[in-house]
Amino acid sequence: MWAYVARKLLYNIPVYLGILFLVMAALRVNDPVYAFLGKSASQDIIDTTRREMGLETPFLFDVAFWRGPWKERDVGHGGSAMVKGGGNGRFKVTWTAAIEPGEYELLATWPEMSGAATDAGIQVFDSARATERPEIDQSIPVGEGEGDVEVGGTSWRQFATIRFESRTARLVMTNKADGRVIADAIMLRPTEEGREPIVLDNADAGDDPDPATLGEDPGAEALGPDGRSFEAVGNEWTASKFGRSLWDNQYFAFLSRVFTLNFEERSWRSDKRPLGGILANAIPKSLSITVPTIILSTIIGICIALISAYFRGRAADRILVVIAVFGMSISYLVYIIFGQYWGAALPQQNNATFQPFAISGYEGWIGFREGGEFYFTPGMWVQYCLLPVMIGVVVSIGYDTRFYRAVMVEETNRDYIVTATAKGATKPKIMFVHMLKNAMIPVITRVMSTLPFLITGSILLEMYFRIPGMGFELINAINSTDFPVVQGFVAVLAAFFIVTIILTDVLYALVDPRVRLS
Amino acid sequence: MALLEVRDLHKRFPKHGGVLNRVVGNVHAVNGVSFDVNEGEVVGIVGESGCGKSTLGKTVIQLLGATEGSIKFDDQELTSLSHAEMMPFRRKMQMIFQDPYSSLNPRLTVRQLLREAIRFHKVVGADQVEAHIDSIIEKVGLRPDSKDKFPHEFSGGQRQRIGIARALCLKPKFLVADEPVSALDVSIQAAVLNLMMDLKDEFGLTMMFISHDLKVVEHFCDRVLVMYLGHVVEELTCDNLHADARHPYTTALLGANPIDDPTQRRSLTILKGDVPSPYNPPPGCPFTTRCPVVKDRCHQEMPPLEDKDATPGHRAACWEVEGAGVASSAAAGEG
Amino acid sequence: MMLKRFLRSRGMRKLRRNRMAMVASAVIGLYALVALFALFGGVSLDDTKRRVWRENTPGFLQPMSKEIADYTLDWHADKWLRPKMEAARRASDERSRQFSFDTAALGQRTLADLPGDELIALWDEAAGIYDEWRELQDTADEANEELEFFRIDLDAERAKDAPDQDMIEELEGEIEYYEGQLEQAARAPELAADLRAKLLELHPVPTGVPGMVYRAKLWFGTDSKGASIIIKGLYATKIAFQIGFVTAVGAVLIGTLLGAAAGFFGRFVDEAVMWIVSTLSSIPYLVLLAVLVVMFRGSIFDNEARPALALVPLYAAFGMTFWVGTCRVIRGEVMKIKELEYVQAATAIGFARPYIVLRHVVPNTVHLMFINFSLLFIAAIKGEVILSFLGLGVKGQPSWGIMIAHSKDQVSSGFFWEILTATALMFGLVLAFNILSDALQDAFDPKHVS
Repeated sequence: MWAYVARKLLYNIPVYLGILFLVMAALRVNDPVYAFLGKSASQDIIDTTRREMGLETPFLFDVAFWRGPWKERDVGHGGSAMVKGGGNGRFKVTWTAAIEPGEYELLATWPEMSGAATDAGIQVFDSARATERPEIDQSIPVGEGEGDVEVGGTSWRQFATIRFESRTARLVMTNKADGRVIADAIMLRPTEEGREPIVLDNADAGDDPDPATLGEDPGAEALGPDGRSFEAVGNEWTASKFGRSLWDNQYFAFLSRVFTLNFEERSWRSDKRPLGGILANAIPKSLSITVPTIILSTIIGICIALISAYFRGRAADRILVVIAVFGMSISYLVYIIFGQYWGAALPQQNNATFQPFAISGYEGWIGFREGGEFYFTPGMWVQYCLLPVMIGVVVSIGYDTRFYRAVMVEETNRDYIVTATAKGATKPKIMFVHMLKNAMIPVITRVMSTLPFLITGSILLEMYFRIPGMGFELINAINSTDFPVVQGFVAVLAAFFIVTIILTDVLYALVDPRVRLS
Repeated sequence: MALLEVRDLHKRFPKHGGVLNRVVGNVHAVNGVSFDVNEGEVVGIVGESGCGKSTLGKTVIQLLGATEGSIKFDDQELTSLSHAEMMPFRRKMQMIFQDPYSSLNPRLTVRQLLREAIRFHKVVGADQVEAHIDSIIEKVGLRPDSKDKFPHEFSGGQRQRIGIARALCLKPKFLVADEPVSALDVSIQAAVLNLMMDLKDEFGLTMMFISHDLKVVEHFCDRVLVMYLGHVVEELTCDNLHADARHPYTTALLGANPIDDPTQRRSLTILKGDVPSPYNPPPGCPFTTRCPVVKDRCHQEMPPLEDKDATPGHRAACWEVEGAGVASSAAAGEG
Repeated sequence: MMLKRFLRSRGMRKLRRNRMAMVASAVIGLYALVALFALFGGVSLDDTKRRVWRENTPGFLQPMSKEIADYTLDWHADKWLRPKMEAARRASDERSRQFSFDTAALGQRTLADLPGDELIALWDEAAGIYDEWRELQDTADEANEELEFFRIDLDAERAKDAPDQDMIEELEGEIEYYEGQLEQAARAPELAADLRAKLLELHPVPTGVPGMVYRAKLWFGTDSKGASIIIKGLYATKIAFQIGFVTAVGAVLIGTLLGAAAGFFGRFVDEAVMWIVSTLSSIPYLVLLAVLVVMFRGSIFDNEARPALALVPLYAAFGMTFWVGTCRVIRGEVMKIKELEYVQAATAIGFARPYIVLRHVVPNTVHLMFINFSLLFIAAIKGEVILSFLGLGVKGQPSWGIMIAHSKDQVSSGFFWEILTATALMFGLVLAFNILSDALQDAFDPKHVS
């Protein structure tokens, strides 16, 4: 048996990895940062957020890796230009220059290329302070656009006018665009008369260094001895094939957290609660709904099924079957809506004297107060949980009854029942002693198969009655793109699921002497 | 020259277990079987259920891949052929199955069933397919209007005739009949056997006839191989089966068959115990657990299949059978 | 051909003898007709949004209480017609006046076919009656209210040990006055009838086919925006069929192909397929659906303005989730069939393995495909309702789920028409499919315990 359990566990490791991969991948089909911040966030905030959320590493490997880094083309200003296909903005180039404070017109030039972006954005930093992020339509060749000027034999397009307070100008261009982004040369032209424009090219650092003005600004340290620099981020990484370790990605980071049972990751929502806290809060709430529901519906379902099987083929049986099928044909949601209306809303509207149930909400009814003092107030449970439990029982009874009846009916056709009848055992004795014992096996299987849903909670009931259990938290997290919570919950749920399945098999073998685990 | 030559054929089915579900053992269904089938001959394979005779039949026509050994058909080694290379041999070697209920696809009419096979192998020209189907159906003794019926509209005997038609419509040279009549009522068995006999002559077939019923085999075959737990324990001609049988297992099998002459008295050996598990066979001769004449040597070494007397084509695998008419038949016969 | 053979099979004959199953099939057919009617333009998306009468009208043309009748009349004259007619009066040119008249249409119910001046004259008369009726109503309301207070005061005064006679007289005077007022207000029903007649003249209920259509649209009342519930219900039937059919067909096809491949070829094909199956089935069903739907956020499929595309995330989510069950069942069956002798016979003939799977194995699982189709159809319809409630389902168009989810507030104010219509429509279809799939299971797979 232990070999069986061990083999099952081994077999389920790839399954578990698959679950985590599937969920993480599905959540990342749209860039989670944009899903979280909205489309109009500035590049700077996006970068910061990405770092804070632990998303700066690729999910598994960077797709951009396959498409290659910035490519150098032998055209354009200074004899070369850097080109990168449009994408998620993880690839960037930075021009940095030491300047005198003052107002500058920003101009750019680039060689003509097919498929160029219409919205290539350049984030302008005044030292470390982000200013504007003007966009350039690079699909219109320089010289053909409105307001293009010619300086020193090259056409330039002016795209912004910025006042710099500090002595460092930094311009960052990313590949977040709808087409090819071309990074060639930028000119900073002072609006004041009598000062020379500064040209920043990808190829040469320009001329006219002025080291005397450096050293005051934090941004200046990165500059070369000539006071200018150009850097294309992403190149180093892709140049050495796995400059970033193969394991340094979000998937393995998450796996390591899961397998070390580290639940310290925090929610992305404003309260920034840690995952462990959310789980610890939510699970008891879900359990106080699901445990009573499963117990009650199983007991009631078996009783009805026994009655049905006892009167098999007669009116009582038919009516019960018809009711079960009818009940199954109505949406769960309708039961909930009317259950809440008649159970809680209507009595409240009529100011009835007997109002046992709250319309929605949850209040702790068992546990420890902060001081460590134990409390147990079943009244609270009745007020907040009993109505959802009753609705849940009513809904699941239809399904349970049908299943258990099928089991019982099949059992009545067996030879041992015929033997018992032939021996002269009474019908009730046959039903309750001989049959129920043998029918326990499918019953146990079914009950066990519902166990994983104990902690999932009934999502619908929790959403409708606003009980902050697992289901409620999970759906809210999905709706507010709170990915750490979604991933963490799915990891816990799936682990629980796999363990229960294995347990079911083991229990099955323990109960049924005919079953051998192999 | 033999049409089919089987040499030292082994077929093992792996058994999985353990934590990593690795192969932990083998079921040795066919264990070092060698025999020839000559052109025009009918060779019977006899043995209890589970002795590997069906597996042997299926391995011979390459429904199952052999684990070891060689199968030569028309002087061509079959075990190493690819699916495409095997194609001409598929047409020449066909099989009749045991269960007439599961051997016909319930969703195809007789016509579709036959047409599919005939077209696939281009047995006749496209314009003659229907005529060929008609002639085959007539030959197996079915009414012409049964062409468009589904299998479930036929009785067991008729279904077996459809199965024979499916095999014969490809005009094969060699036919493996895997207990073709054992699932049929006794009253129908004879009719189907007679039909097969007629067709054998008409088509010039060579056959391997698998059965657990020595009576049927004696009636139908030229030669018989007796199998026990994956081994051929005795090979003998059918002309004088009772007199020739030497191996204690064969004599026991013969004893289990009723004899149609009440005046003839005969001895009866009743085998005790069960067939040992093929997963865990006893060492030495596999028959030791039930053999009435078992000796120490039998537990240590598997006896080879070799000529024991002057009768041509008679071989037995038993240490106790020495030369003509020595051990077992005498021992069993007088016991 | 495959279908024909299936229809001639033994199980099918057994099914045809099952009267309940035949009734259920007929019901499903009826629903399918409705869905096809809606699909081919019988009910357009605009129809489901167009106002046909005042909001939350009860259905079945049920006799209305006086309060509801008064409210409806007030709404019709004051809230609906007045702004349009006043705008028409103020209109500077013929076109804008005609536009105002056109906007007064309520579904099939347009303004009477009269010259514009006559319409305005009619409206003036109606408005006169309305003002008078309104005033009487207000008077009556006030009188009723005051009377109640004065009577209470009077009773209290009389009950005192030493009643103040002056006070009593004064109160009695007041009561008399307001009773007089009430008497005057008793004329209100007459006025209401007049007003109703005038409005009918101005804004007539059409005759003939348009009239029938108009009345039919009010059978199940209107929703909180005044749109016809029955039209929404019919459109939602189409949506339910779309979702059920597309996802069930897709899931059954994927499940059958993968299940057959896994069961027949075994080994690593089987391992790979079963790995995906275990992976998908180890995630709670609703969570998986929700995550898959979220995957489509921000794509072109997340656009309310393009309702046809907006269903794609649902198809994808259901399709990807549901094939798992079919795959398991088909795999098991194929593993059984694989061992049957007719498959070995086909191998002996020399057919290629893919041909054997498609010709000899898969056709023998058709009954399971049908059973699964009908089970998945139900599951998709029920799943749509739940996802729509969670805000992850149908967008930009009515569906049963949207109708049920949105009637939450209506239910708490005691208006059940929308939720009951959606529930009844859904109940009929799901019940029919439940009965049919039971019958299919009985006929083809009697040993199976669901």
